[in-house]
Amino acid sequence: MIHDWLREQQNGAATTRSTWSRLRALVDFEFRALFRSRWGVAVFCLCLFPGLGRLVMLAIMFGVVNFGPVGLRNRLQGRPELPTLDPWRVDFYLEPVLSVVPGMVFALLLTSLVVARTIARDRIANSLELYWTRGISPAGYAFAKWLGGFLVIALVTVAVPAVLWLTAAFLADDWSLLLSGAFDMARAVFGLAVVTAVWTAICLGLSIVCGTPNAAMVAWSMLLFGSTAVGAVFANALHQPWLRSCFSIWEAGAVCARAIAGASQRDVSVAGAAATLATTLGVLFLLARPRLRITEALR
Amino acid sequence: MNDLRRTPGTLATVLESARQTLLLSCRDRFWWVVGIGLLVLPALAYVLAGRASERIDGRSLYCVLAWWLLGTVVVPWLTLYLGVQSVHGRIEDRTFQYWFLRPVGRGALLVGTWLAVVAMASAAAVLGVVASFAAVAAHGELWPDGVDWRLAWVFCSVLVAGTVAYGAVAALLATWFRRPLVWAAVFVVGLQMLAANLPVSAGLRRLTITDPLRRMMLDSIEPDGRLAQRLWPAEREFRSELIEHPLRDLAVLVAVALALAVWAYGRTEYDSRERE
Amino acid sequence: MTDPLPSSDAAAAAAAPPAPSLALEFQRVSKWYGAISALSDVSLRIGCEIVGLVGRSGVGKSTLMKLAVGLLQPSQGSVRICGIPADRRAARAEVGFCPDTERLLEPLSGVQFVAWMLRHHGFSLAAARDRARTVLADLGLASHMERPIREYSKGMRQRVRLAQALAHGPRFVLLDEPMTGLDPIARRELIERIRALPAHGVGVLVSSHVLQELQDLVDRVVMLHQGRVLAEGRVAELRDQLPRQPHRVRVIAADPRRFAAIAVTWSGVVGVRLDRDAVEVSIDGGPAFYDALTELGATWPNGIQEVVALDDDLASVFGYLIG
Repeated sequence: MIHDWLREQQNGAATTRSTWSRLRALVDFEFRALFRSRWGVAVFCLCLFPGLGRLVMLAIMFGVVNFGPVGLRNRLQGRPELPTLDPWRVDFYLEPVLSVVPGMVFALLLTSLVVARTIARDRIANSLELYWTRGISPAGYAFAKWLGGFLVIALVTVAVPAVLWLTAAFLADDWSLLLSGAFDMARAVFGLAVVTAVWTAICLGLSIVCGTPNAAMVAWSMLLFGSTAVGAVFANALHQPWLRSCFSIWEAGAVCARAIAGASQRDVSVAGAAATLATTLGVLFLLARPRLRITEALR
Repeated sequence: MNDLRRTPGTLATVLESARQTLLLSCRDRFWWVVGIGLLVLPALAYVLAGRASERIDGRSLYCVLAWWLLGTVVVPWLTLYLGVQSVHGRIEDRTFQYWFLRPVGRGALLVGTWLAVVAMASAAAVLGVVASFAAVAAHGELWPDGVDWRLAWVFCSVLVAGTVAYGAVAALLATWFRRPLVWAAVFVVGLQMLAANLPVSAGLRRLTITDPLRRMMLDSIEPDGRLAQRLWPAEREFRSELIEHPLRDLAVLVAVALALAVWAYGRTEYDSRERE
Repeated sequence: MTDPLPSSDAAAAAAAPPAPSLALEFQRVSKWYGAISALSDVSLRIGCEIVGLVGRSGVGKSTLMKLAVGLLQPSQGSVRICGIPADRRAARAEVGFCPDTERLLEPLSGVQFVAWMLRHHGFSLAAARDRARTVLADLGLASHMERPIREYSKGMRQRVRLAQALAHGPRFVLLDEPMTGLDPIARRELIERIRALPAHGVGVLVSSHVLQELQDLVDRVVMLHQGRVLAEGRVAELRDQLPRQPHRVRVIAADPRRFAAIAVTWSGVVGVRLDRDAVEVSIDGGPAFYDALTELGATWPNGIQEVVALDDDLASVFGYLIG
């Protein structure tokens, strides 16, 4: 069988696959990787919990189900004062994703499993040279890994809020939520997609830079968690709350997403947050580039 | 030649395992990152102290810095990484076989590895505490009543206790799970952050390391209301009765984690067929 | 206990301690991984001899070896090393294992690695280093033993693995693919080393995919197939136990066409094939062919120049057995 295949190759009978189809196979592989193990599926389901919580809130708010203490039910069924509890505002859909607890916690779990290990694992298994001798360039390889990881994480950070909003729009008494909120929600989805892409890229950059999957996971956790802690310490010590978004990778992303979505926020620096993300990405790009050279893979 | 040989006892095995783990881990490139971190930390503390003069006193600044940076980020992740790498790394690359073929107890090997991890993480934590304290203490204007050197000792002891506990948890996760660092993330940012938002009386807090460590620290530094609020945001009114027995809680957690780890390490067939 | 790497001279052999009668014993051992059966009802008794373990990939060779050194527990049955249950600590002092794992402790030098392992056998720091140096030098790594293992070639790594298996002077050694990566000279040297071990009271179980190599080395073979012992014994004995399988004999004689025409008429000959200047004869295993050949050879012009049995080797026997 293999001889037939080789003969086909020599005779030029085999069809040449385009670069994109090769990359698409890699993206597909990366996307499905999480769902191949029971634990992966379990973690993914766990990460859907904040969204499910909001779904239950929506069901109570719109009277689809009728349980829970009467006081709480009445409070939810009126128009809440807090924007993050008001389904007519995008804050309601952004909050479960962008908050530190539970948003960052679940995002850290998911990115650690899907993205942080991916390239470091290929490096330690000597798979890089295999990819790069099969018509996939280092840049294409990194892009495919990023896209595969992004799609998985976006299922939780982008698709879930969008589905929640659509559910709310259909549960509402009239079409006012759909008509008045469609543009804001489109902006919110775009904002979430942008910051998810950036967080995935940062995580992938660490996976390229680190020598082992374990080191990459710890580096990502420390960067996400550590930068949030540094931001909190600076903001607390100097009484400047906006400093949080200038130090914390997570807060910076959240601030940028809220700014794109037009959601309410105060004591933040959008420019500082954007600069933080850009600087982190830039530094990681400079560090990662030499690590993806072919000579590096063959070491 | 064989006269030179004596059957190694448990203590000798523990010490030899610790020595080998130390020597092996010292060659990890990761220590360069730790070294850079140990240079960045005091620099950060120095800059922060220079700008905070009118807003916060040196004692509060140092406590906030040491607790939130070293206590909740650096020590947990450093110790968990070292522990997981030292135990699980050998299982992953199959080199554990070479140790398991020797006429020594697997439990003793694991305890030795744990001791080495604790020693390495403690050394890094103590250096971090001392360096950041020196950086804050250098700003004399922040210490109107004189520099409180006792704080450095308090944080050294609290963080060393933290490395002991996180090392035990790392050993537990590394011997039980195929992806121990994912579970470490669940423990640090999942369980501990969740428990941090629970009432002080919640039993779940006893399953964490941050909570007993925080109680130990608060008990030692005797903070005023404002500093207590900064260090323990979940508790609005800090009272000394809330401290209870943090050392006992930590000791129980370490003992249980180590016992489970030793039990699993001793009986598990780390066969590649089951792990792939 | 024995020296780490005994040389093959007779004097050393004479000075060796008495050999234990039974070094490794498997009693009706089965091993399951969930629903998969890796070994099924395997019974083996190996004394102070060299036994080859033969089988295709995945038949349970490595599982059998890991059971023998206590890295795995049998699901059923018992394994003993020198009379001690294999999972006991005391058994591990008596056994050396050269696994097929590629990785070693990469940052260490060969000497450090072997010495570290010896420390867990109770050697002092200095004694462990001295012994490690001796063993590695004996295995041909004298000039490289102080370099980090990560710089070693495949063959050098293999020698380090062998060194850690032999250095503490075990009574039974299990070698999983020990020849992998060794050059021909090193292979020959290693074969000589292994051959000398039984004279020093050391039993050896060795697996290899290179059956020719194994045939030169072992006293007898154990053939595994689908987790069961398919056959056990000396190669020639096993071949003789296959009467239904025709033997193939290559005969070189003048005028091969005429020889073939005569040979095909003999009783016991089931087929004849001309191969350039030679004739390949398939016989049913009885002595009739050899009687007729002797008779013919006496009168054949220029005589019969060569008679070679083509399938008395281990590879052929193995091939016939597993079909």
